[in-house]
Amino acid sequence: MTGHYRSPERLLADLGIADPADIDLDAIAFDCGALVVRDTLRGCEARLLGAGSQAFITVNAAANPRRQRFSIGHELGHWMHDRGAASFRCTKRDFIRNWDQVSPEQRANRYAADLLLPKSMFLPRVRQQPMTLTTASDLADLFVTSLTSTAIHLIEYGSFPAMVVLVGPNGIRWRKRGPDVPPQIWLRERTTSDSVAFDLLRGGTAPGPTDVSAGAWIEGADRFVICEDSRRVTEEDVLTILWWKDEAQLLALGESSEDT
Amino acid sequence: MTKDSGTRLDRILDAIEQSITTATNQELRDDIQAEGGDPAGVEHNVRSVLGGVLRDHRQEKLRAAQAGYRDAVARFQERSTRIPSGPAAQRALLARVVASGSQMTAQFRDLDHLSSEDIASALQQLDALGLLPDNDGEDE
Repeated sequence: MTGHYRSPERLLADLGIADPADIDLDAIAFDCGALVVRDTLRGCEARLLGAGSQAFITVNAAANPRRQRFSIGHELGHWMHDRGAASFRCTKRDFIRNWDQVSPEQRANRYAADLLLPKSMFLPRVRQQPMTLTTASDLADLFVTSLTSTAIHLIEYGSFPAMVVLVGPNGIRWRKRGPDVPPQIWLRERTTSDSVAFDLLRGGTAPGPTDVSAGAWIEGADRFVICEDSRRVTEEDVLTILWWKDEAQLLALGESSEDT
Repeated sequence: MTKDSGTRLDRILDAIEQSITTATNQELRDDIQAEGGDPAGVEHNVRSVLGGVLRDHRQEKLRAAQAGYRDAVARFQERSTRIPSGPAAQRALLARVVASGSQMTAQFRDLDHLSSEDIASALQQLDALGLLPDNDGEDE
C-alpha cells in the first residue's frame, strides 16, 4: 500500500469522528485532497478525476442524498486504492491500465461501506437488536445509508443468525448469509406461496416480521419456522431478512441439509 | 483587563482549581448539597461540558477540513476556465487528453456516452488540475 493510503478507520480517527452524525464526506474527502462537486451528470452517477495528490469527485446532484454519499465513498475508495490509474469504460471498448487482479469496483464498494458504516460505530448499535428490516431501516436513517447496504451490514455484524435476500419476479436475485448461517443452508431458487415475499410480488402489503414455514425458503425444512421480514424496494424487487431466532433449530436444519 | 487584574484573576482560578482537585468526592458532594444543588445533576453538567470540550479538541482537524472545503468549492466555482466552447471541440479535446496518457487518476463509467455537459465539466476540472495542454484554451 502506498504512502497516501488511509483506511476508513484511520480517516475517521484522524478527524476525531466517533459519531455517525459527524461522518461528513465532503470534509473527509477534502482532507484527502479530493474536492466533492455536485453537478448534473448524465453518463454516470459519479466521476473521479485526479492529478498528483489533488482530485475532483463529481456526484450526480439529481441522485438522492444516500446514493450521493455512497458514490462519494466509492470514488474515495478508488482515490485511495487506485491513484494514478485510469479506467474509461466504454460500450465499444474498455480502456484499462494499471489495474491489478483484485476487482477495483468491489474494493471501492467495500471502502465506501466501511467508511459509511464503520464497524466501531455500527457494532455497539446492532448488539442484541432484532434482525429485521425495521432495525436496518433505523440504522440506515442514523448512518444515512441505503436500506440494502445497511441490511447486509446488519446480518454481517448483528448478534443473531440471519440472511439478506433480494427476490425478483423470476426468483432470487442474490443472497448474503451472516457468519452464523451454515453453508449447508441453501435457499430455493423461487420462494413458495407460504412466504411473505411471494405475496408482496403479487401486490400484497408488507406485514412486518412474520413467522413462516422455513420450507417456504428452504427445501425440506417444512417442520421449522423462520422469521421473515420482507419489503418491496423497487417496482420489481423485494428485500428480505430471514432470521433464525432459535439457533438450535438452525443447527438441526444444517444437519438435516447435510444428511440429504 | 489590566495586567494586575489579570494576575489576580489567575490566582483566584488557581485557588479554586486547587480547592476542587484536593477535595474528596464526598466533600464535593457535601458542598454542592450545602448550596442546595443536586450532585448528580452537577456531575452530568460537568461531564457534558468536558465531553464537548474534548470533542471540539478532537475535531479541530474536521472543522478545518469543513471550512477548507467551503472555501475550495467557492474558489472553484468562481474560477474562469479556458476550454473550447463547442461540444465537438470539447469532446475531441477530452479524447486527446485521455489518449495522451497523462498521469491522471480517472474513473469514468461510460466515456463514449458522456453528455456534452459531462464533458464540459470534466474539462473544467482537468483544467483546474493542470492536465489540459497549454494551447487548448482557444476555440477550434
